[in-house]
Amino acid sequence: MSREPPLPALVFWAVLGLAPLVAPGWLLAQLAQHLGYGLLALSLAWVWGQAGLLSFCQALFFGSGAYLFALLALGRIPGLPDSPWLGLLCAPLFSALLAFLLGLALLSARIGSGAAWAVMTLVLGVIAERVAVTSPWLGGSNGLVGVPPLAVPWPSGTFELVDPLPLYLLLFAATALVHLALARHIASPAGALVRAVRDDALRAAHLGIDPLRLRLFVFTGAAAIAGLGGGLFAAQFGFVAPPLLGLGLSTEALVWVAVGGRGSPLAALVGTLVVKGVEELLGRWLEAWWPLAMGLVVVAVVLAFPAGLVGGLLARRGRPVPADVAGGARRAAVRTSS
Amino acid sequence: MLALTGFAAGWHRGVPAVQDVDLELAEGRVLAVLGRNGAGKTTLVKGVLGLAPWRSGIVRLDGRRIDGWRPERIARAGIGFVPQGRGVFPGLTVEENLRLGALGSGRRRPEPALLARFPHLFERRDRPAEALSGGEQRQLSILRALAGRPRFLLLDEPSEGVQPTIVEAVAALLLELVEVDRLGILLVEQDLDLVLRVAHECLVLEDGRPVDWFSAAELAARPQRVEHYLGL
Repeated sequence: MSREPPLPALVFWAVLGLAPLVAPGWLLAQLAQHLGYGLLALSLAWVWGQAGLLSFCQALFFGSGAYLFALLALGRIPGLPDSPWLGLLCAPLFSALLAFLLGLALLSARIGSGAAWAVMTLVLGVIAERVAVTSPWLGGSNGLVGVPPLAVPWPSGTFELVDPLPLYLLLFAATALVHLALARHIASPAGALVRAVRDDALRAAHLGIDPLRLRLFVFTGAAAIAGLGGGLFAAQFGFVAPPLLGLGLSTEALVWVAVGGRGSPLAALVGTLVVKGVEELLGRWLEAWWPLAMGLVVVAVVLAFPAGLVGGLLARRGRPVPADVAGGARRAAVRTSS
Repeated sequence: MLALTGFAAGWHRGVPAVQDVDLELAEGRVLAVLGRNGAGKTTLVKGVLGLAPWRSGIVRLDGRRIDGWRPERIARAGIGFVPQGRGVFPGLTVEENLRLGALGSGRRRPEPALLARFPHLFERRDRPAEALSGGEQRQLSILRALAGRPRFLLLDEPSEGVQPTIVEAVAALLLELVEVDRLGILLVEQDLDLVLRVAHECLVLEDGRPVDWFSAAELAARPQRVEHYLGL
């Protein structure tokens, strides 16, 4: 089975679980934000790393989840109550529905891989951002502000989840659970089916496997994960804006996942935290040069570590054999297992 | 019974790579398809499987038309395929490769007895398929097709580039599948020794059309009958 070695994941989550004991509030708030982006990275690691669908529109599903949360929390959808919790529930469902319809249209038109797929997803992200910018209902280019936070009943009234610690714990729990579920799926027979379709869709088809259905399943499921991340983002920050849907964030997510390693969800998560962390540290110092520096780092990583910085290490540890990721990583895995 | 009537298939719409093919394959029989490179043997097999565009004619499986069906539906209807070349998923383990064959036809896992057919593969079941030798990968490809419990098996040059001992093991397996499990086998092959060992009938294709049809006994008596077709 192509499973992640459990120890690195345990260490990763143990360190993050203990963070509230030592980290100051500002750092927890930052980590909570990055864990939300981590959900976007997990969705991309699934759709790109496992199913081989290079998606330039993953932020579309993150942003649509965020917008749906905001619209429901603000009571802007006629006939539905203004409820942040309903928003959080509906955010992944709405993103999944959107992905299902878009994926069905693309995949039925036999745009299921390669450059055509990448270009179409890129176009979808750009269109979505333009729609949000021009729609007064969605707040135009300013987006929606003043989105109410999540709140739970408390003996002394209601307790709003606005402080860093409860928000961090919420994001920690959500991301850890999604990671666990995704890792289990990848190690399951269904996960092997997904990788088989990625490696050779026709070969899978003549074994009786329906490539369209499997790709649609992953595209839809991954969008749900991104939508959950978007909903939690809106709950955290109380605002949503068009860039959350657009090409910029989608491309950033590709960078996190490529640097960490797309063959493993854990690698994608670590990649997100590392790139966002380094961006916080160096971004202020490098200012406008930051994107250029990041670009150079990405080129260097892709050339030197095609399986990603973390993905390459994980491949050497266990035998996750993240298949198409890189010949180098595969050979390393083969050496380990033999 | 797998039956083709006036069958044509190929990527070129105007000039199909194979045309006018009529054949019948019954359970427990082996039909060998012979011909030079480019004669249309692979396109014939892929056309039946829905992997190459079907152009005209009829394909029936037990009387039911299956031409124009999608490949996965044809596979689930009971037609297994062993493609040319190694044909495995290199990044997946031996066991995962086999499991795919079972899952594709709605079974959770392959029968345990399957790996026992090639014990050395059983020993390597946790290895990535790419770590196997070329011949072992071919054997794995055959077992994976069998994991779907097909009633008809289409093999595209299973002996190509494989050492003689493995060809021998494959021949023994094919005979067992035909005689014990009563599979119908369509064997695209250029290795006359393998054809003589397992086939009941032979069909010769030239430029995409059937040009000759004879029994294996006739072939054994006069192998020179096909040698000029094969350019030997």
